[in-house]
Amino acid sequence: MQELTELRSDPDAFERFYRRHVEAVQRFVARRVSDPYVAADLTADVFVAVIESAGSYRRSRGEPAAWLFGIARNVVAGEHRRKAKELRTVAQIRGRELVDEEDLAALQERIDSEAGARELYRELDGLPAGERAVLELVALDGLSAVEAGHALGIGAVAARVRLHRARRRLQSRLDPLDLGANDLPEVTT
Amino acid sequence: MTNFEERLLVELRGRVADLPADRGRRRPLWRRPRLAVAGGLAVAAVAAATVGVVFLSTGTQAAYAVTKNADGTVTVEIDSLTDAAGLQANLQAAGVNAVVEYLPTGKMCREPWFTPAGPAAAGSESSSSVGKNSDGSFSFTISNDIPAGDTLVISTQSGDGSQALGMAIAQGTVPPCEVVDAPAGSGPLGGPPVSG
Repeated sequence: MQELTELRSDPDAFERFYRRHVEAVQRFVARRVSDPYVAADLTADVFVAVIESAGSYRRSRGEPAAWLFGIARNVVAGEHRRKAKELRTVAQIRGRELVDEEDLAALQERIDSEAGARELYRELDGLPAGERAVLELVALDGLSAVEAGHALGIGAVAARVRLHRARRRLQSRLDPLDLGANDLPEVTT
Repeated sequence: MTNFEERLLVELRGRVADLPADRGRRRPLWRRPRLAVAGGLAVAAVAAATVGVVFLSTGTQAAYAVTKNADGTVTVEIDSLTDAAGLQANLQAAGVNAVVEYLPTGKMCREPWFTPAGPAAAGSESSSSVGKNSDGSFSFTISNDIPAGDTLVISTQSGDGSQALGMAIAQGTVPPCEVVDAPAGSGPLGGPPVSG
């Protein structure tokens, strides 16, 4: 895979990227928000951010999918912080205005199917931000620790360490939390 | 794809088609040779809520990222207003002659601090757009046509609870900042209060 700067300049290249990833992005969002209109807005925001940030992708940071999840995580986390502060936001493309009734059903269906993930997402509140970021991408989104590191721009060792700490913190705090912790990769560092 | 996905694709394709070929030629942040002041929500207004992403670890609190782009421009992402010296050194390493000064709340550099570059330089495309990212960080791209010998000045400060980032181009070198108290009632960077 080449650098992604062409996403900024070539609509066809962007379309290929979009078609390949739009479902994954929507699932990613549905694991974090339950309002279909907010989900539509955030999906639009993520791809706007992709266009804005295409120049920041580096092959050394892993697959484009990991980079994309890093962007999506920042966008969704930003939305939660804004909501907490009740800040008005200026969206570049209002995704919700592109939603019709048929879409609403599809969005809602996707959201319903990710209810468990959203519960876990909420459970992660209170974890230190860096640890939370890694655990989120691993436990919610199925990335490996290395991929999560790529998504967050940190090294594999740092990602594993944070994952390990986050798991321990959660287990001590929330036990018995059905985190599927046994399914997480073993920490070898 | 669903109707939503198709419609969103149309919107996004339009955005890509509308983007200027050269990022460095986006709307300049400042036109006049003075410190441009932007704080908090004001930044979002100026930059139309540029959405970006910062590849910084949140745990170890990397303060910034400097990326040299293939076209000679340099993209800077500032996550927290710490380690000005490190950012300055990284910019120098990326070929940008820059001075970075972070001041605590209520402080400013004694004016006049430096000689602003002439209107010709400031009115050129040397400047950059700046965006406040959704996570509160700033990002901007520095074009590659800052006149040789001139200095990019980046000065940031927290004021009135908002983060501010100011940039300007100085003629020649920039003298050391003499930190003084900002006048009461002044906004970030000692300038007029920033509204919004």
